[in-house]
Amino acid sequence: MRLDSIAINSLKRRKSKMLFMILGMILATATVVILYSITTAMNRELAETFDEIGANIIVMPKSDGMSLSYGGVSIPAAGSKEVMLTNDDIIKINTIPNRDNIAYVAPKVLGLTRYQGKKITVVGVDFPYELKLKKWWQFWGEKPVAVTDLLLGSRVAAMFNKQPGDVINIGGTEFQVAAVLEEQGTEEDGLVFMHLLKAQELLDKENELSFIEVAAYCTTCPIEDIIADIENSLPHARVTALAEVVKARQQVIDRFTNFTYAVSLIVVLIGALVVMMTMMSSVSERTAEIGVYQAMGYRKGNIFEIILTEAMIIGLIGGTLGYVVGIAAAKSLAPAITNMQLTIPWNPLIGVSVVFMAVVVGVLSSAYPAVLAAKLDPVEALRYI
Amino acid sequence: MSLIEVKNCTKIYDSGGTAVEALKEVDLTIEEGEFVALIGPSGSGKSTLLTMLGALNPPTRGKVLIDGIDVYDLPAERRADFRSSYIGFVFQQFQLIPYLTAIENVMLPLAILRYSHAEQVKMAENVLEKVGLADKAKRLPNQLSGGEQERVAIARAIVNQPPIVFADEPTGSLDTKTGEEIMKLFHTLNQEGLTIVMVTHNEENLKYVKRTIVVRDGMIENSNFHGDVA
Repeated sequence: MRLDSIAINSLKRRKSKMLFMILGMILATATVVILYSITTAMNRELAETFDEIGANIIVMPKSDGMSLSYGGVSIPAAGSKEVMLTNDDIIKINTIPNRDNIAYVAPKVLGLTRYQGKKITVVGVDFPYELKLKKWWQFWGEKPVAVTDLLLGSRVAAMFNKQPGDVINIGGTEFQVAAVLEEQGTEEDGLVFMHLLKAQELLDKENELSFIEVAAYCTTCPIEDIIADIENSLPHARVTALAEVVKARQQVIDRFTNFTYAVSLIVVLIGALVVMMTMMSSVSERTAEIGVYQAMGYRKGNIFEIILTEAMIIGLIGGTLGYVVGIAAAKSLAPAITNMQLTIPWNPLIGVSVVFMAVVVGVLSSAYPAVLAAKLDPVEALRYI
Repeated sequence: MSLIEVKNCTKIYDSGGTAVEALKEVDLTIEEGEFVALIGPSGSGKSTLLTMLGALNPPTRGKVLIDGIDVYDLPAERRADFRSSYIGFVFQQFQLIPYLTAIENVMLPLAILRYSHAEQVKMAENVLEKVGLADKAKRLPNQLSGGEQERVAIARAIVNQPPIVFADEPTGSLDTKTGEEIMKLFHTLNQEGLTIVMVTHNEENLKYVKRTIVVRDGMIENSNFHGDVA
């Protein structure tokens, strides 16, 4: 017979009390696990979705001459003699150590040319990635697919009275207007988007890039790390984070996470309160028993140990079952609650942490009843006999 | 040196702001091997004296020496250790732990001492055999009769071989025949050298004791040694 045997037998033979406490612990743990799992998965999903919309990193050639502007970014002027970015740089960015955190790489070449005697700004883009990056773009017509397809800004289309299906000749090459962008209210309205290789050929800038927009998953990896990787791979480039974009995204995610923590904290407190109240009632019921232990020569520490061992066992069982129930519930409830296809994995490390936390909560919430039990005056306790 | 010496002990309780003198300047000695009955009307101070002798209830004034040790001079934790090695208690309602079997109840005093599980089992089985319950060791208290529960309580009180056992109305919850059997068991244990101090209301029990101490109004009214008993 050891003190833990007393605790184990006490729990085994007072099943209803034990089940009540374990149930409280399961509910608290499972709720926290459900909230944590769903919000973590949602955070990841939201972060990835946010990160895929628009660029959060701009890669430009190192240059002092900045005469063109695109999307609020100043670009070295066409014909600038500085070291330009090249098509190879796209591959280099896609092979950095943090490449798994790169969502999209959208290279661009910018230049001026003439159409019907008027200056127009041509932007060569990789359409598939550009359209993924600019998910907010709405256009009239078909997605540009062919090398000679054009996407016209709304102002350009209006200026030259062009619409989808029209054929126009720029620099001796015939292009077809595949689509016209709806008005964006930005300089994009005055641009002519075409296939990257065709633009490089038209602008006589073969293999050259004006800048590269990168969408990175900055929640899974600090953006500074990704920037450092790109800078290492492209020493001739200037790599800049769009700090405001990153900050705004992080704020949304942080608010969501804080809300989760607050709800989890309340749930844990309720669980702890259930265990504490039940333990206090248990101690009160067992006053005479504690008096008997004291009469036998049990020290305060011995009585404290018995009560806390019971709490640890409850925490261990409640925490383990709570984790299992929580993950199972999260897996089945997540799609209905979030309307998203979330991946909620069984994570042994989180499982162990959850059980550990449940044991800690069980022990902490039983500490006060245990102190009360240990401090009982033996004569008072024996009066309950 | 007497085994138990009570020197000029007074116990004052605070009862709702009023000081109640439960024991008044009590002097008492009990020798090793005695079987003493404390008798007296309800509220006379018997139970207060018993818990005071049992190192559970410190006097407001005075000293209690057991085996020459001033028990209330010991810090609380050392006093608990002292109870563990010197004193066994038998309570009126048996006070067995309901979720432990008979043998587990008997092993309780050993759980805080340095005995291996095998040693604990052996010691508990020995005393259960001594009280005639070897065959009911695995039963829970609610599966035992009143007399059997009392025997388990006695086995629990003596399992760690303390020199003194204090019993508070040990036959109070038993029928006459069973009470008689329990008193015979106490008598046998006393014959083997155990010092027993018992609170009782039952005059039938007095024939087994060597001395009767009458407590009245917090004072020892008289103390009579008996001749041969039982």
